Amino acid sequence: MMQKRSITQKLSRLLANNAVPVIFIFISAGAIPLSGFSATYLIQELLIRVGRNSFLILSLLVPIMAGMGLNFGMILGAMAGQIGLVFVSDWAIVGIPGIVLAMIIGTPVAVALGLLCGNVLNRAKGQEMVTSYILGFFINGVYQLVVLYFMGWLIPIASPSLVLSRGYGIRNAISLLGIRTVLDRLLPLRVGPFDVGSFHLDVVNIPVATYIVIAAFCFFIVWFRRTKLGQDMRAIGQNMAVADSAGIPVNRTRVIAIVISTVLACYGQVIFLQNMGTLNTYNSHDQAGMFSIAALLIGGASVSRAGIGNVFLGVVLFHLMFIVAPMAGKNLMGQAQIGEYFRVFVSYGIIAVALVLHAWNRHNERVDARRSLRGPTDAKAKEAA
Amino acid sequence: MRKTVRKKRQAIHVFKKFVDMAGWPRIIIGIFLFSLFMAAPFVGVLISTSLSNTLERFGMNGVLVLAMVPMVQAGCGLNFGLPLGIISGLLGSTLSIELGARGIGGFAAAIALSVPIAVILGYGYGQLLNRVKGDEMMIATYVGFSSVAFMCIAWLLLPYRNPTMIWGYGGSGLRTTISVNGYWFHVLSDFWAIKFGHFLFPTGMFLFVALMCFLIWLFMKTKTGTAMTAVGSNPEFARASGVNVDRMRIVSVVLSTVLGAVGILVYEQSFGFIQLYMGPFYMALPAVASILLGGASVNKASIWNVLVGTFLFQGILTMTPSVINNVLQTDMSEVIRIIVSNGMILYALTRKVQVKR
Amino acid sequence: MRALQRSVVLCLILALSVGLFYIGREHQVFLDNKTIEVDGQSFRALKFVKITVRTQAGDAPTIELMPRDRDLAKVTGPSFQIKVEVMDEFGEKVEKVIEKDLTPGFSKDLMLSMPLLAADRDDYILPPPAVQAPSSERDTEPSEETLALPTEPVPDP
Repeated sequence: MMQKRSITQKLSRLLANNAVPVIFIFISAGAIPLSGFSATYLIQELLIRVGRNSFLILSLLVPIMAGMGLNFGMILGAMAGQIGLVFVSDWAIVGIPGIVLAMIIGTPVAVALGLLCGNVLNRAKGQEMVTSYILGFFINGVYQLVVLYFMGWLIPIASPSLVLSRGYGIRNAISLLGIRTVLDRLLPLRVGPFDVGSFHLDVVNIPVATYIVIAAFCFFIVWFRRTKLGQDMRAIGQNMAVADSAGIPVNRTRVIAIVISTVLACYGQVIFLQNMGTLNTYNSHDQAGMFSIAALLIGGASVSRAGIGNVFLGVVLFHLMFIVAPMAGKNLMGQAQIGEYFRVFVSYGIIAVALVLHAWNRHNERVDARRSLRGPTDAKAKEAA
Repeated sequence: MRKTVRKKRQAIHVFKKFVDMAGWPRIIIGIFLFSLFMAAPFVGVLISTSLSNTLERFGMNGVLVLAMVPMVQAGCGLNFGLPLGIISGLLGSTLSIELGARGIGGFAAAIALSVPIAVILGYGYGQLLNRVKGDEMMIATYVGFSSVAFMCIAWLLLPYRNPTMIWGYGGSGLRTTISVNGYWFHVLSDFWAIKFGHFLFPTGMFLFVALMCFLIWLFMKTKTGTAMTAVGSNPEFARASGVNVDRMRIVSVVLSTVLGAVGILVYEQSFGFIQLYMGPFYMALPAVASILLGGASVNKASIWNVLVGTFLFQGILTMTPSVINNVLQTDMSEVIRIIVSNGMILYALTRKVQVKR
Repeated sequence: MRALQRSVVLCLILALSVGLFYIGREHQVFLDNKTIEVDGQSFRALKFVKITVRTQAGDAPTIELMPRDRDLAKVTGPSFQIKVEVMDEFGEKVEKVIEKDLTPGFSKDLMLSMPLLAADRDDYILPPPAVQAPSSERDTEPSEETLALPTEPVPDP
């Protein structure tokens, strides 16, 4: 009887873990023909978007490893990256040096914000996600205070093309012409055209350098899991009390996990924006957080378990939906706006569903644990009652 | 000599007691607000206008903030899922306009239409929250967000006919903002309104808010209400004494959702517009911040917290733009609002755990 | 020991930043072909001039200037070469070729006066013109809509 239950449990868990990607594969399979996009267009778009977003999403993995859930505070790192980019555009540093310099400037800001975030989260154990979420809003206010009021006044910004006409504050949209797609174009690779039977594919460009950076990051994650620090984080993620009694400095390790995530999110945002070519000073970071988390969850990750595979599956599926939904909505309902709202709905809905599934599993586990503690007779008595 | 020392000690003791009771954030914000009111005449801001603005916004938001109380009391955490209640209210108000109901009757119709919707939605929402105990707040946030996004699609597709609400020029679906002017604009606010000079006191709205507060206060005194509070403060104990914890939680969520629906109606009749689509998206945050500012914690809230918090929060929102902008010649109100409201929530979230340990 | 290591790393990063700043800086080179007066002497604008600006990255397209023209070349990096071909007014015969190596280094923008260059003077580098604010299309403050948080409108007075 014991075994039987475990098998059904395993099966349901397997389904629960993979239900989301499967649903998305079905949605995309239905929506792609409806949208009427060509394969070449879709593949080219996907190649660009995977390169653009993967780094940001990968930055979420470390806190999950440490059992801190989805790091909604990653937008702190994104803000740090944007501050770096503002300075770099002010100084007119272009090309790869511009990108690297933006990252270097963003790093201390990201470390400081990460330390703050880690320490705040240590005071709210068990509520990390909602706390990091609100912290993101809070720091967003501080960021606006700095960028909208201090820059150009307390913080010197020379370039008039960045500053609002009133004399201080950064403009709403900043063109990053100097560093636009420089990383993507560093090692260009053109592939195609192909013809496989009736399947035709035109020339597609692959941003090789961006993918090399992403691959390096993946290797970093794999290597990091094996280090002492990585092992400590996993132990904390399993059980904080046990890890504490084993002599692992729990609070310190958790702060480090958040700092790493924040700094990497900062780099991710710089990579993201070099591809976009425009910095929306006051909302680029917001979208970064929401879309990254939604993509990771669509890839089948849960709040407590996420791997590199989830990242790439998620980014492909999420962006596939992102590209085809408006067109599919237009062709199906006659309104592109429906598709637009649909993808917003899906991004939020998927996060809600993933959080519910996670909480539900945990709840069931707790109930099971209680039942096994009480012993079989008690459980039977309860069932009878 | 000794006497003065003792007196000093006593004074410090009284002061400490006061600080413990009121809490530092309220004292700081209170002093800030007070100084804003003091500074107002010197920078050319009329106190009567600002005070009446503050009062009007207090009335507009009062019931929305009150919607936090039942869920917090039942231990379901802060109701970040308030948009769900707001959506019920939006459905009710658009339906009442569709039916062409006007005046007080129209407002009553809107309430009558939205309450059943809120009960149904709240029941489902409560069922969901019962399965995710411990993670309510994060899930509530995203349930709120996704329901708002879902309703965006619905607003486009629902078969409304009233020309004041749908897009002209061959567009389909409801407008982003719908005026309630000519239907039930200011039906509460203008009821017995007292006016002298620039000062306007929306008596009707205040009476309504007071009535709602009184009803909730009364409910909390009933057997169900006390059982609910017991569930919030000690679920194990409540279970042991024979209270159905899950049922109590559902009752609280339904109540919160209904209050959210009524709250948005009060808001709309004063504001004059129904805001659809992404309008309700971030409405939970100010309400959450208000009740926390009023001294509530993540698992304990009272009517008193609602009143104090709403007054302080709305007071700051009204006063900072007028006073600070006159001093600095810039509009910093948006940023101050973000920092104050989220700082407040952050403070509450980090404090709760400390108390527990 | 650890502090020492850290400060060494910090210094290295600082040096790297300065290096990146040096090699990555974009300079706007204004090429000016206007009549100019220096030391009481007047230098007439050239009839026709062809300019090639070359950086490490390779050739930039050639810029042709008529009298009273001013154009802009963007160069990246601490140094660049400039080749000026002074032509007759029909643009057929090359009258004079001047080649110069320039190193703006850390400074930002500069302006080169063609008449002074053609006259073989050394003071051909002028301060850049005052930068005009860009067109007013993006000249708006961020509207409430784009700010991230609750956009609760103020009640009508």
